[in-house]
Amino acid sequence: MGHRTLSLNLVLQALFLDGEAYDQLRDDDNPFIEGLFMIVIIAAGVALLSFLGHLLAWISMPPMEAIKEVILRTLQQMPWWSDMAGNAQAYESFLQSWDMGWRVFPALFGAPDPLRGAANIIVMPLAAVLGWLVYGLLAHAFARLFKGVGTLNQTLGTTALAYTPWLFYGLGIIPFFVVGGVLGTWQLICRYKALRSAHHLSWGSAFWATLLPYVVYALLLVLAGGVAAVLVVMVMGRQR
Amino acid sequence: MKAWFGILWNASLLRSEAFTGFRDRRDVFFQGFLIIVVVALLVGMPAFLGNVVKAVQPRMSEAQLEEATTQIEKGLKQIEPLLGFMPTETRQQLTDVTRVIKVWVAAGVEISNLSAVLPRPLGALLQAFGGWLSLPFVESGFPLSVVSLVTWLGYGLWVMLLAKLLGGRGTLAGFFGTSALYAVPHVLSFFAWVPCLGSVLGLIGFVWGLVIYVKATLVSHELSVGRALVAVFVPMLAIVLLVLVGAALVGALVSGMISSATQS
Repeated sequence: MGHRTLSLNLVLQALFLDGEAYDQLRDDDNPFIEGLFMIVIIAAGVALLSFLGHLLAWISMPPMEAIKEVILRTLQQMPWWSDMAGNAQAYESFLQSWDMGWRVFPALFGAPDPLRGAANIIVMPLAAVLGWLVYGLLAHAFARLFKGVGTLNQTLGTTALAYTPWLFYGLGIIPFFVVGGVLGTWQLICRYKALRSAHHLSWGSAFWATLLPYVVYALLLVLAGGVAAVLVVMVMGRQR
Repeated sequence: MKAWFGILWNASLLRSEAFTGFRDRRDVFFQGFLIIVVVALLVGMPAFLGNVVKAVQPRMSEAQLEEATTQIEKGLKQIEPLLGFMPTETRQQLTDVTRVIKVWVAAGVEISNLSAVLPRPLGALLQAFGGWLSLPFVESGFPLSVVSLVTWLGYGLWVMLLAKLLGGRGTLAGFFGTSALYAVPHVLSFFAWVPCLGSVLGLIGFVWGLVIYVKATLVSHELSVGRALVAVFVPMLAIVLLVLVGAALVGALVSGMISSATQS
């Protein structure tokens, strides 16, 4: 049984950028296991708290079906409605978009959904671990490229501490609480600290090692978008 | 607590020892985080109290709805003379627009009056509370004009990068913690709800905050005044330029579309 470095105090120290926390985890006998354990606990814990928040928000709002009905009734009073309803094809197309919109948009705008909240208890830890491993591997490769001296075990251990800002998702237990995108920035800063500590890099090298994995993500996204566009064009071409 | 307020006060008066003392604290980032959260919540307090009052008020009655729609009609009538440059046909459509607005206002009222499992005041109170607590995390605007973690960390990253490129020697925690002091004068925005005076106090808070931010960058990175000014204002200028270029592009695109639509 190895030495246990992880503690609530260490997590809070890492969250608030205390360099000692990163150094301590780097010097642990198995930073990877400590990091994995911490990520799963944080992600599952905050997902559970958010689920309770979703539940509270859900019972304090009128049912989505009732809202949908009021809006449909209002749309039917619009000047263009009778023209549209008279055209069978246009009406059919409207109904399809209407139903699709109500499936997509409420979730997109953060409408409380206990089912989604419950699913997150499983999805969030999985997504966190996957994101951590992918980023960790890429960042390790770039850090080594910049003459970093850390091991993969140390890179993964310290970059796991970049998930400490996720603790704020736990405030989701308060209904209608929104965190927004700031945690992504905070996580980026923690990742920089982690790579600098694990690989003893200069600030410039640590900066590039932190940023380049995001560049890879962006390139992959562009590539996926391009492939999807080509596929769509091909499918549409065949249909003609 | 008294010592904490003492640091904030001395920093507001730009006393160097307050900045250096703050920078050298081991928990400087946490202290900065605290300042941002406390000030953001304080500034959002009047709006929160307003929402609480709204939450405990009875539902909107038919008469109140009628009054609200009359106000909208009045407002549209007032701007009618200003729409002289528009074609007559478009101005005649104003009546239709008024009718559509009334229908949607009525729909909004009907939705807010729909019943939920929790009784209305409780649900609305929770909504007000959740929205208020979210302020430090989501509030955004022109760089350093609002107090939030978004501005503090998001804008701070660019300033930190530039300061480092200019030879700054500050640490991440030291810079972010010290730069959070820019939030202190923004407590003046607590009075944003007061007509005229609120805007003036907000502007004073913004400019004062900027000065503190420059001082914090200077102290935390041990830079000269000139370099600190460059580090703080170049990202701001870049954002303004990007916005202007973006607006010009959108404007050109829209005018092109309008002219092509008119020609066809």
